[in-house]
Amino acid sequence: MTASIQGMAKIYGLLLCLFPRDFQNEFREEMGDVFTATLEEASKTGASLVVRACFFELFDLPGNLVVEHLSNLRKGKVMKTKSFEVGRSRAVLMAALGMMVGWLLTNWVLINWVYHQDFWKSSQNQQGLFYVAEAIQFTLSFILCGLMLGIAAGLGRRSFLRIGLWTAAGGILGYLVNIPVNMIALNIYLRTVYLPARADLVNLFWQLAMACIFGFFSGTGLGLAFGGWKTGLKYGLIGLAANAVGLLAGFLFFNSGLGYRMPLRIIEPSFIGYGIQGVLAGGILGWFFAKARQPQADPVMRSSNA
Amino acid sequence: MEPANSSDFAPLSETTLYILVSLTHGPLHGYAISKEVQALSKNHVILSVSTLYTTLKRLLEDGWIERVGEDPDPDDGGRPRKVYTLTERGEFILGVEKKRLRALLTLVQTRTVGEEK
Repeated sequence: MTASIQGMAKIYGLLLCLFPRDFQNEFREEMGDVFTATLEEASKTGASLVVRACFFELFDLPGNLVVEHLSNLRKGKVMKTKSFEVGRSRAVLMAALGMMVGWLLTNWVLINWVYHQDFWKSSQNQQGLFYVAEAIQFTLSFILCGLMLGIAAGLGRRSFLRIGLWTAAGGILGYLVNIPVNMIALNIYLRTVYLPARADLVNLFWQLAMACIFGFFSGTGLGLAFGGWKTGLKYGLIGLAANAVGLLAGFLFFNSGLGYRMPLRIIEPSFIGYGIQGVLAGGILGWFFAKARQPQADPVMRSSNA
Repeated sequence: MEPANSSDFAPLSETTLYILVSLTHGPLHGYAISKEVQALSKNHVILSVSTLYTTLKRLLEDGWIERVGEDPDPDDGGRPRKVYTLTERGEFILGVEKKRLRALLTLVQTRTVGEEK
């Protein structure tokens, strides 16, 4: 088996963590073996067939994931991971760090590496690549946040990957939902750009809407990683609020005496603003993540103490 | 166990039908089922791994197929592969579907016989 096939099989194995636990226990190993066998056979014909086989699997996977989870839901099963407890300060620190590093790292790459390329000077390329760069930017932040929360909770390797992958899956879904929102907002922005004050306001609401959508979906993913749909929804709302607070704090910093007043620009992300957003959004998520997993006080003990 | 009303199970989806048909000649493991379906459909139906296993899971739950141990001779010294076979119920369902398709074909042939000429 070549290293590339081995690598792809490993990535596929990780993606299979997104299936419900019962399904994983029963079929994960088998599915990994069949995927590897498929790639090995494809590689005998040519490298292009291996890539095709991978894409075929990747395109088919989301639909089957949804079907499996819906089928579990119908049977009244929920996605559960093993019970865990996590210290609040640890969870807050780890999640804040994860999301901040995600935001700063991707912004550093975008500002210093991607946006300065000559390639961007063509407006046609700019629009298409902007969406791709943005997807990576947002998703990576949430992957890191999810993984750090998993580490904070001290879970086993598979469980913490599960939390990271679910959060990332939510982030990707959030990105897809954001595309039409972006298009509408861009349209409004272009109509108001000649009025700087109004354009700034439109831009703020645009960024806020995007942060809320991303926050909601990635939070839902995080909740689903260790609880049922109710937990998912609850964490979706927490994620939404956390990201909105983070974004507003970043915005206020730039428009206060602490930062320097800088016009908000669409393709010019700001380091400190995103850093503040990451720390706050991750921190708030971490706070609730830890709070939800705190052991409840024993009612018998409580009454005897009284 | 036979269903009270055989029409409850028809028509089968293309994937389900091909998987059931692939098992008519004997037990097969997952990868072999996938290759057999591809061969039977002359490359028209190619199952992704996730589609194959979500369908197998459903068929196992419905009792149309069952696991009958493991492939004793895995390739390249790999893990033994689980082998699946049709159950009596699965054979019955396939029979019902065969009758349904045959009736449908007869109907189409009867109605279009004049047009072909």
